[in-house]
Amino acid sequence: MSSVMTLSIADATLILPAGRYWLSTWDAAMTQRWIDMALDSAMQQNLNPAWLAADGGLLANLRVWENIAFPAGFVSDWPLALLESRLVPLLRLLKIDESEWKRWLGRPAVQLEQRERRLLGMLRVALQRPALLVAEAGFFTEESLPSPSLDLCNAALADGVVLAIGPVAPPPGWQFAEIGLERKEVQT
Amino acid sequence: MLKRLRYGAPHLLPEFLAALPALRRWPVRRVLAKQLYFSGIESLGMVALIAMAVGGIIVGQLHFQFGQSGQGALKLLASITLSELAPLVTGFLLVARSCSAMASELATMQAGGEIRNLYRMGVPPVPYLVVPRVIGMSISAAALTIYFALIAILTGALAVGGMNTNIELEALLDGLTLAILPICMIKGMAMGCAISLVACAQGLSGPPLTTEIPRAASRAVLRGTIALFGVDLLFVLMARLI
Repeated sequence: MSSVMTLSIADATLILPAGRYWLSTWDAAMTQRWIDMALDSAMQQNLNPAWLAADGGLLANLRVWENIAFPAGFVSDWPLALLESRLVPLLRLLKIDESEWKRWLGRPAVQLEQRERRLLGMLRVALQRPALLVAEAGFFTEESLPSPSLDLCNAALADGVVLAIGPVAPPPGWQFAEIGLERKEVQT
Repeated sequence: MLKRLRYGAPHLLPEFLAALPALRRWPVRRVLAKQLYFSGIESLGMVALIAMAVGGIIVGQLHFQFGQSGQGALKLLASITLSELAPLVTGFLLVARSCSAMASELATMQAGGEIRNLYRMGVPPVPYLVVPRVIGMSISAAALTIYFALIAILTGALAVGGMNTNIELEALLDGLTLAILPICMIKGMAMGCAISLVACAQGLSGPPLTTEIPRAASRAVLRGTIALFGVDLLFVLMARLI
């Protein structure tokens, strides 16, 4: 797969080499519209983009493990055994006791706190290993994840293109480069 | 594709049929297993109770009130139950119990932005949400219809035969055409398919508002009931034509 992504958003074409980008918007409605456009454009090119909502984007009636595994199981048709073998090393990055995360995986997603929801969203993305991640910029806030979870985030976001869309810039620690639609091409 | 967040019942049937191959994926099969549990296994007690009541009431009316012979009453009960009552009453019970739940669950997902999230994850709602629900409900309805009929007939046999129930049943089996059983099952399955399609359409067709949740549940019950009679009428017409 090409490491340079070409996305069409609002009549503009973004050419994005691997890296993290923040596309600034003015309001929530524009954010949602542009997210849809970016994902639409990627899906039309069969890029299999991953999606990360500010609140993790969970399905409340599923358990934690189902929420993590089902997009990869559905979209990529990966069997459960493969997903499990990929998930365990990711969970180890969190430096949590094995019995604790096993219990966590069995919990209904509706019972999770905001921080856990975000962690679940990131685990889902890390499991998919996408070449393109489209995210709500609100996900990348300072207080979003504790330090071991940052290792997981960095592992998940290491390769490919991450495009965060929203009115508020992610904190500098996340190393996002700002782009506007008037700047149609990003050079690195 | 991301913009199509609303469905009407007429659009859903062809989309449902086109999405059937999704059943080979494990997330869809998992939803199917849950649906079979919720609408099938969990309904067993309620269906058994109503079937016993229906069997007892019909035989009681025919045998004890109108003086029909025990054999005759049981034969009538079996004939009415297998041709009409079992699929229709089971359908009603499923409409009341599962369709409202199904529609409100989907409407809640719509209101909470979960349907939009599914699209964004590349998971279209019809294969992931509608296919397992409709298939699960159809299988459950077919099985529950036969279960209802058997319990109603057994209760009737017990009521008229007492200690000689097996003799009554043997006599009944001698006079009964067994071809009616698959027809009864197919009718139950068609009704289950119709009411679950209606419920899914109602759950997914409203705007993403929390006020839509009770409205979707109420519409699913009303339109599901109409769909039940529509399917029943269709079977009657088909029987006339064949």
